[in-house]
Amino acid sequence: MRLISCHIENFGKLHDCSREFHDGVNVVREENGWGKSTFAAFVRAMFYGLGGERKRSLLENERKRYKPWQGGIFGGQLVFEIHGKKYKVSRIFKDKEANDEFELRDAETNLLSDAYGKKIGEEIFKINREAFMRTVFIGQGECETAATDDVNAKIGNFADNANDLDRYEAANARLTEIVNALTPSRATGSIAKRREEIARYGRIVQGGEGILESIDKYQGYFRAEEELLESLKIQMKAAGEQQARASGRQAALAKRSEWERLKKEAGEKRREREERRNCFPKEVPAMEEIRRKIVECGEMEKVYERMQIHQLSEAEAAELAALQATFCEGGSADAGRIGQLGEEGGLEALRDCFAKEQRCASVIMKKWGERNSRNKALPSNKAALAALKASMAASKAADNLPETGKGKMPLLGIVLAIIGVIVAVAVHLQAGICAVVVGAGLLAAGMIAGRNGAKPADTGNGAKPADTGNGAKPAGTGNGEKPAGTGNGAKPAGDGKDVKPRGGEDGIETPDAQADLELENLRGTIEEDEAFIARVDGEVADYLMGHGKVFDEETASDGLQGILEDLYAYENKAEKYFALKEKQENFEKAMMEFKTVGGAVATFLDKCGYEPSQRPSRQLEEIRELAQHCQVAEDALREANARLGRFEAENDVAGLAKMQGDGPLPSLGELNQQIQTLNGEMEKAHRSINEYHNTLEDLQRQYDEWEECVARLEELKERQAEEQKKFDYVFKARLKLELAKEAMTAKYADPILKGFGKYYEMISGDTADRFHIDANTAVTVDELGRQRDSVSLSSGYRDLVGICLRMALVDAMYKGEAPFLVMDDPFANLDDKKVAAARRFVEELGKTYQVVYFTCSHSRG
Amino acid sequence: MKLIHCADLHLDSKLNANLDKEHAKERKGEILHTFERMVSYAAEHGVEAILVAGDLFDVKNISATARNTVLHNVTNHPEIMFYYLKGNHDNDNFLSRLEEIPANLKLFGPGWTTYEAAGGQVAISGLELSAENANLAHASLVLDTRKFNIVMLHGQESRGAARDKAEVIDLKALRNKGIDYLALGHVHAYKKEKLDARGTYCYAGCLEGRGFDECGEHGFVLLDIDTENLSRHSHQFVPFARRKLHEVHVDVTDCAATAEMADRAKEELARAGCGAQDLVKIVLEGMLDVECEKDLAYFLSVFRPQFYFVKAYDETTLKISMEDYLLDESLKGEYVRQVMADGSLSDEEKKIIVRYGLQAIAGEEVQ
Repeated sequence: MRLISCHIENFGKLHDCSREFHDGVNVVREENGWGKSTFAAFVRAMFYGLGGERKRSLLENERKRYKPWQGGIFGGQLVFEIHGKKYKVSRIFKDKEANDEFELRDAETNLLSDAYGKKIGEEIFKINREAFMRTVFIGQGECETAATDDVNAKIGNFADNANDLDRYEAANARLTEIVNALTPSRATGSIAKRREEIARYGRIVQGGEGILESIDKYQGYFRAEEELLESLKIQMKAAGEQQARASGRQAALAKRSEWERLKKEAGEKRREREERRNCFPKEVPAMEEIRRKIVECGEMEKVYERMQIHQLSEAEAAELAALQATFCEGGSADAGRIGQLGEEGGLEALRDCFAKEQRCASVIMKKWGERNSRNKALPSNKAALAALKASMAASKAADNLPETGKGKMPLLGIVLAIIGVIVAVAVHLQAGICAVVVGAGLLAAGMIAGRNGAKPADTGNGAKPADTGNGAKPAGTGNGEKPAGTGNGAKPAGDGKDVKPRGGEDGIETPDAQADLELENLRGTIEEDEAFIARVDGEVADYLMGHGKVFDEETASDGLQGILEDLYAYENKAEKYFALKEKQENFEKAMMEFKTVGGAVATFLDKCGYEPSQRPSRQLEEIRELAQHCQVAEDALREANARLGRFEAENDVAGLAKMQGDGPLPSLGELNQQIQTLNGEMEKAHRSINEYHNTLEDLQRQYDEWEECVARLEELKERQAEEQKKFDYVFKARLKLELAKEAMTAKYADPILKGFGKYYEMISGDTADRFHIDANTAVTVDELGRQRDSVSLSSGYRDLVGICLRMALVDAMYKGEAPFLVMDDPFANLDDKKVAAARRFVEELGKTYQVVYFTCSHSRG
Repeated sequence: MKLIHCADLHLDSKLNANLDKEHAKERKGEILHTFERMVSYAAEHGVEAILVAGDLFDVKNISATARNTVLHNVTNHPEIMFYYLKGNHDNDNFLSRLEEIPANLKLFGPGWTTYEAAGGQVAISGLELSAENANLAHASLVLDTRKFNIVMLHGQESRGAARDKAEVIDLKALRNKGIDYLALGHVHAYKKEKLDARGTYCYAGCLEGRGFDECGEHGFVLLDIDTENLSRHSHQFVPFARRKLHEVHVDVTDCAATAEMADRAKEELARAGCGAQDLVKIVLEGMLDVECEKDLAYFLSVFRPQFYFVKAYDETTLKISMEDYLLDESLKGEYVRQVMADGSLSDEEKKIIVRYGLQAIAGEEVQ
């Protein structure tokens, strides 16, 4: 491997600096301050980057140390050749390693190459930066060296085989780290730290050993207080019982007093009751019975009043007797019948009977009146009939008369009628009526005759004579008395009809026909009246006979009237009779009731031992009052007895009766005081128990904590033992590992020693027999009978030994392609003789290695 | 008549011997809750009495939570009689603050105390053993043989000396006394044996395992007495623990890496039936090559998500084949030879030192 060229953009004080390298020794001889070491550092930095990143010292921290003074790009390029290929490595350093730029190009193609990475130094030289600086790179004043792990590994790895020797330092460091972390001999070691902790917990545990005793002690206090409390409870119970007994005794006394009072009260009530009872001659009636009797008595008085009301006066009694005689004892048949009917059917039946009889009498009377009317009208009717007959005869005659005669007939009729009226009024009614009738007949005949004579051809007005004829009929019926119900009226009507059609047949009524009709009607009326009279006479005769009277036309009216009057008289009497009789009966009934009720009251009074007085109601009221008093006394006695009974049932009266003083008892006041004191003591005991409980809880907490401390101490001790064991094992492991490494390196110590001797002789001209190299590549020298560390040599020798050892190591490390060597004025400490030898040494090296030699001295360069 | 026999609940136990603080606190609550669950179970299954044969509590000073929880469960279930016999761990301040002991909480003392149940057909006798009464306790027991006799004691059966303050129960002295069921406490694993021709003795074991010395099933005993025929009764162990503890030994012989060891452990854990809610202790055993890669922290991290709690112990030993290093011209070979040649070291020490050195050379963590 060889360097070809480099260009420094900016690195320390160097700026835009380029240099070509050739094979063999490249001497860079510049004055002090030119930047030779900086140049050398640049070469190193191109392969390994900047070192001392974490160092604060400017000398150690290369990023700070070589930061361009003048600014600009920090870095440069370096062209080198290895295994026949040329590469250009470029690095631009930034503020920190992570930001640094690295680039590798194939120097021939200028293409980027990935043949090596950022750690190109390690990859090419197979050693780390430290090993590089201890071997290939000899810095100013840094001649002394020692084989590093990487150096050893590189030396041991002759054929680049995989080997774990390079892990020694890491393994050793790891074990050392554990040893240091665990070490009992330094304050930072966990064993040492834990020792203190164990001591602390040990003191706590020791100090807490009394807690359990304290707990026992306080539990003893606690139990003692509990026992005290129990004892106080017992005392309290006893005091309570005494209090109860004392209270009970007082209560018993009070009860006995109450019992006595109740007994006395019952006795008094009994006496009072007896006194009240003694008010009665015999037994004490029940209040209900008295009340009933008072009610009965009230009813009796009402009956008495009724008696007073219904009692007949003497006149009434005499009247009754008379009426009784009339109706019952030898009166008329009617009276007897009436009396019987009244007896049988009562007053109402009698009244119905009277009403019927009176109606019957009225009918007879009416009939008799009509009969008399008809009878009275009969002569006039007969006269009218005769007149009519005469009229008809006259008419016939008139027909045969001259007209003058006909003209005088109405006048004759009028005169005759006037005379008839006068006679009827003044002399004789019937004669007068007859005269009137005849006169009317004449008048009518005259008028008919006159009309016929005047207008013989006017037959068409035949109705008018008919009207006239009819007009006569009312005169006939003008008697008016003829009852409509007799049917007589119908006949004239029927007759009228009969006549009318007849008249209507030819439409011409002739005066003769009309007169015939009139005659016929009149004759019928007369016959009818005569039949009616005969029939009524018969009925009246029967009626009178029924009432014990003989019919006589003259006295019949009086007879009938008498019968009717008798009926009314009987009715009045019967009314009176039955009213008096009813009164008499009511009186008797009331009398009966009075006697019955009065008898019961009297019996009651007698039962009670009282002589019935005139005023039984007052007597009963008095009895009731007495009975009420008695009842009240009885109730009072019953209540008193009930109270006594209840008391005796609820209380041990036998005990109360036998109650004696059961020894001296403290007073209730004393007992209350005692209880109050005990309460205070119990409260105090409760407080103490609570306090002891709290203390015990506190102690328990302390004990828990103590237990935790004990557990922690045990855990710490256990852990300490484990760690101590581990420390011992790791410590021993480290020792054994070191021995192993020494045993390994011892195998190539001899070749190194040979190389060392070769270079030593080359520079010093002396043999290196007195030098030794151990398995750790430490050089010792025999001095004054013993091997001495190279450190004890002079600076010049130390540098010499270091340079020789470096070259021996490099020889041992790189059996194949040799690396370049960088020497930054390494011989500054050598004397002139050795400097000359060193120049030869360098020249000799140049035959094997490309050497870049920096020096400020002409003699050394 | 159904009864529950339980013992050694050790409520308020700190549990810090095996568990970290958080797990210990959580387990402490779980154990208390298991007691509550047991009472609920009794209420739901018509159990008339719960026999607590000692060590209901673990510490001298009981926490308010534990005390109140127990009392709440007792007073809340008046239909269940609680027969509580104190053990060597129990302290009498459990009831000290009570004005009145609940009617359904029956206690025992230094002398024999007998309670009757099932209309006098069942007699429950108990005595709290102490140094003072231990000698006379057994001899002074007199029972009515016509009844179904349950006797409660807390102590170590007489096959070996008790480890702690507990007294010894002389089973021989209790034979032929008319005991039908000897309800014992103190031994934390369930055990049932014949006492004599008539009776059996039984340790209910603890209700919940607390440490890896209490692995396996834990719970209580359900006793069902036929009151029509007192000679007949059934006995059933009811596993009731919230979590199980497992100690699983894994042979990792010849495993070259942690991953291999984890695979072996997975197989063993599956075989042991470890559940996700369980607490597991893995013990690595066997011989490993001195150069094998073994990272216990990583090994644990593989299993930590799979279980409620897991810890691992490395009890493996190393083996070294000297033939492999005799001709090894490397630092490693030289190192092994150096160590093995040291006669001052024991074989085990040599292996450990070799392992440390090789780990250092390999750039691995030295452990």
